[in-house]
Amino acid sequence: MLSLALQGHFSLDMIVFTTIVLFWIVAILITYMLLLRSYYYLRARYMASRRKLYEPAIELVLLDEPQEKVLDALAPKRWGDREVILRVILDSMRHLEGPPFDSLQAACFKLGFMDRALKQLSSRNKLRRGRAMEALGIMRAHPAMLAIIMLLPKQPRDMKLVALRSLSLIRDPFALPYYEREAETLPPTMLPRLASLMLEFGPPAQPFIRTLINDRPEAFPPRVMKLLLQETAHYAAL
Amino acid sequence: MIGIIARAQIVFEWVLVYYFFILNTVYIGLSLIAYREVYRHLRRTTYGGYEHVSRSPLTPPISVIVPAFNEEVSIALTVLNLLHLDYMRYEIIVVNDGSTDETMARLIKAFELEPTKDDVDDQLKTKPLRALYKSRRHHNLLVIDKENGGKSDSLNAGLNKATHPYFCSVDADVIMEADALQRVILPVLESEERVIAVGGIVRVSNGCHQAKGRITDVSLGSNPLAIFQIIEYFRAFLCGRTGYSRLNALLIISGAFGLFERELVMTIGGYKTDTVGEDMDLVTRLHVYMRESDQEDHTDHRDYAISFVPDPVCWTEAPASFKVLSRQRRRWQKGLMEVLWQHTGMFFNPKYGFIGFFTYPFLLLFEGWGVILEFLGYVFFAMAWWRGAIETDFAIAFMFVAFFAGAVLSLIGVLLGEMTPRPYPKASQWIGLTLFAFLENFGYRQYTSVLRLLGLFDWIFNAGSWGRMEREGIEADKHMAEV
Repeated sequence: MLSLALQGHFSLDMIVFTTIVLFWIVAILITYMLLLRSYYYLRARYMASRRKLYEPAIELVLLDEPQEKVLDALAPKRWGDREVILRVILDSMRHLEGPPFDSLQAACFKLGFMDRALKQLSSRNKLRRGRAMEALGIMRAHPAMLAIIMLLPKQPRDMKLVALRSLSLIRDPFALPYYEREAETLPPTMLPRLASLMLEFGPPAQPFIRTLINDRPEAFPPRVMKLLLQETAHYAAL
Repeated sequence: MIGIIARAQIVFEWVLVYYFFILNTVYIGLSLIAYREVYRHLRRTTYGGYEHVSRSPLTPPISVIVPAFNEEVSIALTVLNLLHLDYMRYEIIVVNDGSTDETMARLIKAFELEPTKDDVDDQLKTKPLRALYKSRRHHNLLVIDKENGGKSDSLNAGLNKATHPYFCSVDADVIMEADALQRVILPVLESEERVIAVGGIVRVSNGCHQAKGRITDVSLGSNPLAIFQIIEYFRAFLCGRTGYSRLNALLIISGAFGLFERELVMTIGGYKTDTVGEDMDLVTRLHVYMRESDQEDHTDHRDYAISFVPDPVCWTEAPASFKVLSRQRRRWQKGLMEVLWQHTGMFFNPKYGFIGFFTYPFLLLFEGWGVILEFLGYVFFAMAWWRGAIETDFAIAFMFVAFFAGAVLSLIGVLLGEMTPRPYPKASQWIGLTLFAFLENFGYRQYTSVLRLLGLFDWIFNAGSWGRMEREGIEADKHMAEV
């Protein structure tokens, strides 16, 4: 009976054709996975081996060695190493403050990482743009602030958040009015996040946060509102 | 009469072929959506964002609720693991659901628990509480000892005592990733819609090594049954749930790990205690509430989202024996049918949008009742071939189609597993997974299909209960359970 229904309408040729198509999909999937794994593995190994060459530079920074020595240790030794060096520096800068941070910030400027990231802000590639914004934020690159602010209106929402996060790391109160402007374009669900980024600016953020919670009180759950009021009152007292 | 039988047979054959075709097309479609979503998620997370989440005082605190019934082997280790999560503010509420083993004694000993006063009015009705304990060493650990009432009842008891705006239900045997809470709260903080619930990938821990309450070495292990389930989990979480989530049509968030808005769950009456599919039931009722309520701020169904992050958030021990697997699968199928049957109003209901027109009908017809067709299909095909009603060439060719279709789906699951954090590191493990993706078509799929059919019968004849999972503990650190 199955022959009536299947072999009549779904002929053997069709079944064989589907099998061949599926077989090739399986073959492509396996090849793709193999290539992907090999790529990840080789890249991770290569990156780890290159990182080892530049990580001692961070120790020099922590030991307060002269800047020239640090720059020498961070100078690219091979084509393609700039990305590795930048990662090594950024990973350390995330956790550093004071003179070691300043030393690495100066190194970023002198080695051209800041300029490179600034150029990448105008990249059409969203991933590159996002990474550049993130890097500039971690470097606390004041010269990049205006460029990031100019980019804000043109960015999709997810990139806007990356830009606002980056500005909150730079922590220049000059950027605060632009947070206020962005608040008008963001949906209410994202405003608590915006306010938490504004808190990073410290006392100068107080009037801006007050305006935000007065203008859009419905966006802030009672718990968040209470915390924000507490924080802003604390800032006002300072 | 013979004519009628012959016609019925032809109709059945057609139904079978279309069932097979639609099922695989939908799965492949969901997998493609999931692939795109995983890719986008991975790109998005390269910019970071988690650091600020863990640092900000505005990040919502979370109550982690752990229902436990006879979990003496794993409970201390689980709580220890939970106490070291990388999150700013959270509380852990362990609910001992009238365990008959040493669960409560182990908790008291391991965490220096002492009785505390119950000064919170319970909003949800639960079985009577015996006592409440606070830890002398950990200010954020609360243990509720109550009479046995089932998993949902325990979760409700935990909800009554929870104090934070979000809660995370966690199974007592899971090992959470340190940054799990950060990962699941991010959609809540950065989405355009109000995110009312978030799920994440639950990975299989069988064969993995762990130390200090964390998975340190991802490995496959040697139990074939567990390896088949690893592939199943990849397929279900990475292909299925990620795909559904992209369409805001997710109806299931695993009971092993899920984040929910507490107030909303309290409003809809907490977990239902008369179902074994309490996790799916809750998500479904949340959809119903959000789409049917006439709250001013939720008139449009696009105003809320139930999200899924394709990041591994926790690890669970999969059944290592046929007996336990059988119980688990029958319970899952029974739970699925219970929930679907209680919400038949969703079926092709325009109010539910994509859920009403796609997720619900698909789950009901293909995942629910479809198991009958799947089982009969195997029987029918074998009989037809045996009786010579179909030619051998044709039968073999058709089996190849089914085999490759199944392999494609499993391989996409394995591929997505490779792309997400914490893949299986060794080449031999990847080869093993790929091999098992093919092997599961020879016996394992048919076996689980029978279990699902039995689960369907359990639902029809109203049999079954909570179920008990026999745990072996995870390699290398079993003694940690003794703390």
